[in-house]
Amino acid sequence: MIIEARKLCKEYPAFQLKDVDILLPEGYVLGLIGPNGAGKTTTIKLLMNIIPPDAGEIRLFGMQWNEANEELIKQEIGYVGEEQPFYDQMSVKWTSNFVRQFYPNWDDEFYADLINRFEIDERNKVGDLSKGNRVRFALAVALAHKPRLLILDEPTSGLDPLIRHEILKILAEIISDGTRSILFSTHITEDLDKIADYIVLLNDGRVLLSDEKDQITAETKKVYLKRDDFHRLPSDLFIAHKMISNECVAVTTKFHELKRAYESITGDEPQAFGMSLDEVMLAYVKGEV
Amino acid sequence: MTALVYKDFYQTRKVLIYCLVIWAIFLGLAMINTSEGGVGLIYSAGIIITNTMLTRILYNEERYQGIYFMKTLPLKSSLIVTSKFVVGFILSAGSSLLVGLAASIVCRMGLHGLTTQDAIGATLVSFTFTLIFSGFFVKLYFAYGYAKVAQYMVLVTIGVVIVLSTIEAILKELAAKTGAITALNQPYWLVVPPLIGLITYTLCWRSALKSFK
Repeated sequence: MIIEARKLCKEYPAFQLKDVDILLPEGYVLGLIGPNGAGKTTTIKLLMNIIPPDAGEIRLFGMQWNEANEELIKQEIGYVGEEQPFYDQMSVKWTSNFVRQFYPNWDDEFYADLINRFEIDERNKVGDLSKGNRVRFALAVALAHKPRLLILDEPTSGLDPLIRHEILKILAEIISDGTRSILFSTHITEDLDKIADYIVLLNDGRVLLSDEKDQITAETKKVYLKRDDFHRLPSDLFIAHKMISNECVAVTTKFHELKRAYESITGDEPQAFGMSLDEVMLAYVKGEV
Repeated sequence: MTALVYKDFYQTRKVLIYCLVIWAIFLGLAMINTSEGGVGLIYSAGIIITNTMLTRILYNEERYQGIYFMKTLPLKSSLIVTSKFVVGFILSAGSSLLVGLAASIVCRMGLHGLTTQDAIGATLVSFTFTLIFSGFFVKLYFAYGYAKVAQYMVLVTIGVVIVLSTIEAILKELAAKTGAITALNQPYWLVVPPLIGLITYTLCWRSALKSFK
């Protein structure tokens, strides 16, 4: 496992993260989703050892965070935050020169390629970069040492679709060799539809859903039922429903079980439709169909 | 370590030049002003330079989330803390050397009746005071953040002055009572304040290492 975090807890006066498990095997992309304030950034800060957990265990690359391992672990991580902390008054060139000193694996040629591809003028001050270019620059810095794990905390938030597409394309290239892993936190679930293998849905500091994306897609469906049929089915098959006169639109997370139950009652297959991650999140978090 | 220390000085190079200009002005004023206040200007240069530089360096870290940035890099937390204490030490030593240099110049010019021992004493006392000041400043910064430190550092400074003055007064009184006043005027007593400063600084550093998470 590249990331193995179990029962993570962190308490603030107005927020509590409770019993969060994150597991990410090598070569896969894990999407950490949830509404604003769900605990995504707190989880990432815990995983990055930026803040210490109150309870729980974290292992990255099989190593626990401690004084001896801190440098070793971070050598293998590339990090891009939503508001990437850089010294804004310093130039792009100064910043990359500063960062490269800490990575023995820093690849100058690869970094130069990325900077050229992103069309970033290294003479600019970091604070003068547009939001899109700032993310691009952060990504170039995070990738230049060829990390085994890329941690992205809402990197595409507030970016236009073209830049988001470009970033996703680069991420797809990175994982193509199967040796690199990505933890991608976002509330724009559309981005994850394209690249994620695993999904962890957080809400109010708790994990609501954690599974393979394909499994979620296969099992979470929107079904159209007759009102009477809906009432004859076990209620634990559904996480949300809405009645429209004699009809019922419901969201199930156990589609195959529902299908069997429905067939035994009606002798028919239920009318079912796939859902986007956005719709899944809405059903779990708000109970909305 | 070198990269982190260099970063702090590079980012505040303009403030450093500004501090050197202040020092030069103070030196000039001390040459013109032959009253006691003139010497006071020289002595106060150390703390003014240290405070100005340290405030700017820590303000930069706060403003640009520098500590957060460094924590995303492959750096041990202890290195991040220690680098700031190294910066504080360099500032204390550097500014005290400037105080000593100014005192020596005034001494050479035969102004204010300063002797070589006075110049050395001024350097060491400045070193002690700026070291204790920097130690508390950096320690409190890692414990409570820049905003609170900036708010309360004046009180801490006043507290340090009061404590140091009280210790000095008590020592002198004790020495006078026991007839050891001549021993207190011996040159080897000059190393006592810097020793106190170094011990306090080390304690602040150790405490910051423990509290910084």
